[in-house]
Amino acid sequence: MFFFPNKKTPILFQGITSTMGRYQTEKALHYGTNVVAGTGAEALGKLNGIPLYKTVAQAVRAKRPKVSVIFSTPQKALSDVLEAVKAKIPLIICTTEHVPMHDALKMKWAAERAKVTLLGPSSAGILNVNQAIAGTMPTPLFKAGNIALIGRSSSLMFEAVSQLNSYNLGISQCVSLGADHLIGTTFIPILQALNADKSTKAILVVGQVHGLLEEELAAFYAKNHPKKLFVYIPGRALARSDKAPLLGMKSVLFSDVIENKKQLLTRAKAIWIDTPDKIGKTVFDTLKGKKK
Amino acid sequence: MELHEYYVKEIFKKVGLPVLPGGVAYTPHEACGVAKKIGQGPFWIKPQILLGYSPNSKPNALLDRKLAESESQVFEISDALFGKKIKGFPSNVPATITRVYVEQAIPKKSLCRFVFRVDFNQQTYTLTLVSDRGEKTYYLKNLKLESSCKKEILKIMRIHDSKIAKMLWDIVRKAFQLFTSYGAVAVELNPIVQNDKTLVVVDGRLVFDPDSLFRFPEIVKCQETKLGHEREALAKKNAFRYTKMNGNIACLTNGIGLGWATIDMIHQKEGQVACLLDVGTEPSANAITKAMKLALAEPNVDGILVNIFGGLTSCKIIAEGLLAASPEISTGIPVVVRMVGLDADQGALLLSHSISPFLVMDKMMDAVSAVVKQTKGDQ
Repeated sequence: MFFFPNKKTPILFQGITSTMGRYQTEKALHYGTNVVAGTGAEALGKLNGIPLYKTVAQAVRAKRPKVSVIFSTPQKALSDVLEAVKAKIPLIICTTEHVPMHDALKMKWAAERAKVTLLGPSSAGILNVNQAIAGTMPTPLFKAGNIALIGRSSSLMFEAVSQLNSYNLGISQCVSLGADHLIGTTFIPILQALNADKSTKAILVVGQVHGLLEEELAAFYAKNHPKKLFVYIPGRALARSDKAPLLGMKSVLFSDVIENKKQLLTRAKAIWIDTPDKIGKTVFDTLKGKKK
Repeated sequence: MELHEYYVKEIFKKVGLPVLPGGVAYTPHEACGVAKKIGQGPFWIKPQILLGYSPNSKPNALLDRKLAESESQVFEISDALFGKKIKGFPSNVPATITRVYVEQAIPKKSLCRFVFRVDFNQQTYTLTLVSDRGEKTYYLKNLKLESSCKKEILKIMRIHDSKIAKMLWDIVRKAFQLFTSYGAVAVELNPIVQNDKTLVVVDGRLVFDPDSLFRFPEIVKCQETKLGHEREALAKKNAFRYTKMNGNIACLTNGIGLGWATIDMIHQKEGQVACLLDVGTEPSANAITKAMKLALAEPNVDGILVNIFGGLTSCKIIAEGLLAASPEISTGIPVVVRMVGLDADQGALLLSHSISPFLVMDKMMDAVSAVVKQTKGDQ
């Protein structure tokens, strides 16, 4: 089941000795995150006071982490995720970008079979504002508030945060699913967790033209909508893919795909945001009760 | 980046897929030699040029296979082909035919065609089978090719000859093996032809996943840039992505989502984008410089919009990258820079001290309006 790590949640960092791992560890500790263990190449002794282990199994035995954040290379990402899955860590976050597609599928299916949650690959992780960071988000950007943000592309998510900041709207939770075609967790488990999250009043989703995640989201939201949902999806102005379609596949216009997602979501009573510069304003106006 | 047909056929042969005898030739004499080795005619002669795909263009007649009845005809036809120029897509850079593939020709009566691919919607492997009895897609749950699939395929195709059935299933199995062992995005066998009492894979496509190629250095060595895709290849070498479009504003952003959002806004202001350069979430100064130079070298560009959100990378580093490319900014090309996030003030300060005319703005809409206005004024 998906959950938001807080100050007390014990977290494991896999690939802690890499450049990215070291940098993110310092950032996480500074934010007050409870990093209890690390694994990685030549991991011996301690790093910033965090005990290091050779394998995930050893780290789990010693420290019982509930979350693992993986900072590894595309070459090692699959084996690292499978190691965490095997150790039954309930929430695994893979931040690695450029993971081979077949590897991403293997991760996804392994996590599903073991009934653990996999976020990513290419996820920027989870930020529970003023509680814990389990990912790579730039923490100084985020001010505490009651809007939750779920997104695919991370730089666009940060853009949305900075727009909300300019309207004095803060963030409660920020979750990045990853911008790749093949990813573990979709919007729904996170929406379920947000519905139960008391610090969240409204939800902002930054979607993607590829895949059926927004269609699923619309079907779910039509039945469960205790909180306001805002959606923006980029790519309307793009034409279509310039790759030759494979046998049995049709080449579709991105604007048609997005129009379809818009129809489904607005029918489910979500609030559609047409242009990226209006993200902050639309959320602000709607929450203030003004008309658009 | 793609592979020439003769490489693909080589790989097919290696995994045991039945292909027609053939070989690559660089001169008409070599072409004759290949034909001699094959033995009996007729032969197909196929120019080996990697063309970009256009949804609107008709297949280039020049690239169609030519049929030669005899060895002497192989010489004549290939002699006429060598040196011929072909226009690329999307850019019109011409290329010359330097290689042909000579292959035994058989009547192209298709038994069926099929493709294994990674399905992004269902998030699994799929097998799509197309024959004159219709089209059928199987989702391979558990990422395995179950033998239950075999029964269904044979039932749909109504194949009763047990030898042919065995051969077809063998081809399906080997194609699946090829698909998984290379971590390919797709393996398409199109068509499979019944020739006497055997089955032959006449043509096929192998689409590699660029992210899995670190495992296959031998494939990377054989890859060549598709005609008209030289800029994409250059971008890839320097760890950013280039997408060609049809307008006059070059867009440099970090992260594909932010890039697409920027394009949406330019269109909303009735501007047209020439190309998108996505330097990724964590760009280096060098990648920014290289991307900026590519934008400046792009024909038909009247203005450049840089839209960067400094999440992991400091805007100071981005400004340094932009400054390194500034000597190549010719007069009259406005460069609008919008940088926010980490160290945005320091980045803006650096750019404001430069002699090059960077127009720095904080708001996305202001930056977009500025670049659209300036590029429209130029026309």
